[in-house]
Amino acid sequence: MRVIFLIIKFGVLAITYLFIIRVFYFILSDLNRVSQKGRAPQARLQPQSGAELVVTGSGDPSLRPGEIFILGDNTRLGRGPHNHVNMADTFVSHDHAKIIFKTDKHFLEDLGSINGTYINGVRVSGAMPLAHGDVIRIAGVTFKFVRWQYEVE
Amino acid sequence: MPVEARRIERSLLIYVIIFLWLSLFNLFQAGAVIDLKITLLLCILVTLAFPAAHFLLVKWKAGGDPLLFALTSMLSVIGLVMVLRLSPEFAWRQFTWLFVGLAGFLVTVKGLPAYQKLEDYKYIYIFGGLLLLLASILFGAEVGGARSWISLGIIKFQPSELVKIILVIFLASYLEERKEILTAGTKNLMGLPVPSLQYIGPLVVMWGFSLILLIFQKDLGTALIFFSTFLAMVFMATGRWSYVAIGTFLFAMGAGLCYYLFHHVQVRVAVWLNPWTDIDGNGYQIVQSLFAIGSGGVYGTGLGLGEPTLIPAVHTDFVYTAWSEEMGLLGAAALLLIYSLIIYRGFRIALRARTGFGTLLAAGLTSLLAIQTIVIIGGVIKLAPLTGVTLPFVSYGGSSLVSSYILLGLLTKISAEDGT
Repeated sequence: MRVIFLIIKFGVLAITYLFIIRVFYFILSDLNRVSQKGRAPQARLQPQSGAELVVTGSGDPSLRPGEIFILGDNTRLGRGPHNHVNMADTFVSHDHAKIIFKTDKHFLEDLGSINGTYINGVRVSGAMPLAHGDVIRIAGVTFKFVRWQYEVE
Repeated sequence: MPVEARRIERSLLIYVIIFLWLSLFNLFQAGAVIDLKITLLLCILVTLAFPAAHFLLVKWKAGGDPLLFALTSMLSVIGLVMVLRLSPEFAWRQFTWLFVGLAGFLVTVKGLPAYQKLEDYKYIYIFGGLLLLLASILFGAEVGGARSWISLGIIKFQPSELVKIILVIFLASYLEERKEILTAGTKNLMGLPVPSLQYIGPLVVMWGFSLILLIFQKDLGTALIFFSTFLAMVFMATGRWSYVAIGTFLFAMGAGLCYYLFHHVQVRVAVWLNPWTDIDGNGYQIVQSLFAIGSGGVYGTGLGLGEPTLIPAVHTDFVYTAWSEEMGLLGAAALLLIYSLIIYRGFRIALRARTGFGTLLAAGLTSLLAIQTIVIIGGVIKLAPLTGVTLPFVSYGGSSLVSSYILLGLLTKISAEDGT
């Protein structure tokens, strides 16, 4: 009888600790994910041109509304992991679009994506200049293009 | 992705259910189960209820933190096992309250339109909360020296449990609105920024409010929790130590005054300082608690095999002691770890919230939970004077369980809307 109680007692303790270890493990991987996601895009971009993309709506789990991407000279958007703005949605092409900074202006160029890139609802063909406040949509994600010198806040 | 993230919740709930049945088997072996049929029925219902809540959350794509619900389920199940162990005649009540609590949790997650709306109607519900509190002072029944219960026929409830949450919501919206003024101050006093009276008013009101609670309800614990949560939130909103210092000073003055005015406060403090002089009288409870924790040792006596029932009120205030005796240091540490994880997740939600109100609300609710846990556990291990508050999610007590689940619902809601 005593042996049975001993076994059950440690069984109960073991299950409690297994539960906690499982939670710890999840939290660790969660922290890793967050720290990688926070660091990667920002580190590679160099803020020179004074403009950013703000995520305004997102059906994509990897992008949160309110997330900000500072635009460099050549910012790439797409599903491939090398992109500055990295999306997970399968409607996004591997190399979907790019935003280049030339002669004090930003141009959005579609890189032959299947589902297209839209500025204010119009599908992009060739390099289109961006103006402050333009809404860019790729698959289920919408971005707002913000130039800092125009920003009111 | 909410569905993806909920997978961890599902596997964690399996641990919780295994824990429940293993503990039940243990209690049965120890002969602690009095009515096997009803106990089995209740446990089967619980086994169904947690996964049902989980699947509803998945179905509604509720999102939100996937760990919180699993962690609190573990605590609730520990609570159920301890009620079955300590006072099986009350078990069905605790089970019923758990179902009410789960329903409250789901309603909070699903029914509340958007938590930001809470910011707009703050004066309405703080008024309601104060009325509830007033009612408990005027019509309340006295249980164990504290006058904080309202009796409605067969159901007795403690309005202060609900008022705690209302107060946190109110403070979050109030502080969010006045944050700048409170931080900068409008006058200078010896180099310290001091806001003028109309802004510092709420601080004074809160101080008075806690003292009134202390004086009329004789509920030391709740007053302490109210005021500490308030100070924590003011500090989080303004980042100024001066408020904490002034607040602590005011509270210490008030508490000192109460000490001289009320006999029962003196008794509590005397028992805390030295329970051994009155070991058969006022000191009995705390001394038994210390004996129980000590006899548990590192591994505990095993569920149903200790003697925790020697302690008066063991199923409410001293449930931590009973758990420590029967599961030992390891079990007690596990319980504390689970609380710390909940608190960690709570503050994480606060940091990720997108609005100032969301941050303050999540941080305030988490502080409330943390402070309550510290106050009661500190009390039973004689680290602080003992005050009769419940251990959130674990102690026997309907109002506490239901309001804890509503708190959980609010935290889940904030994390669902602002991303995890």
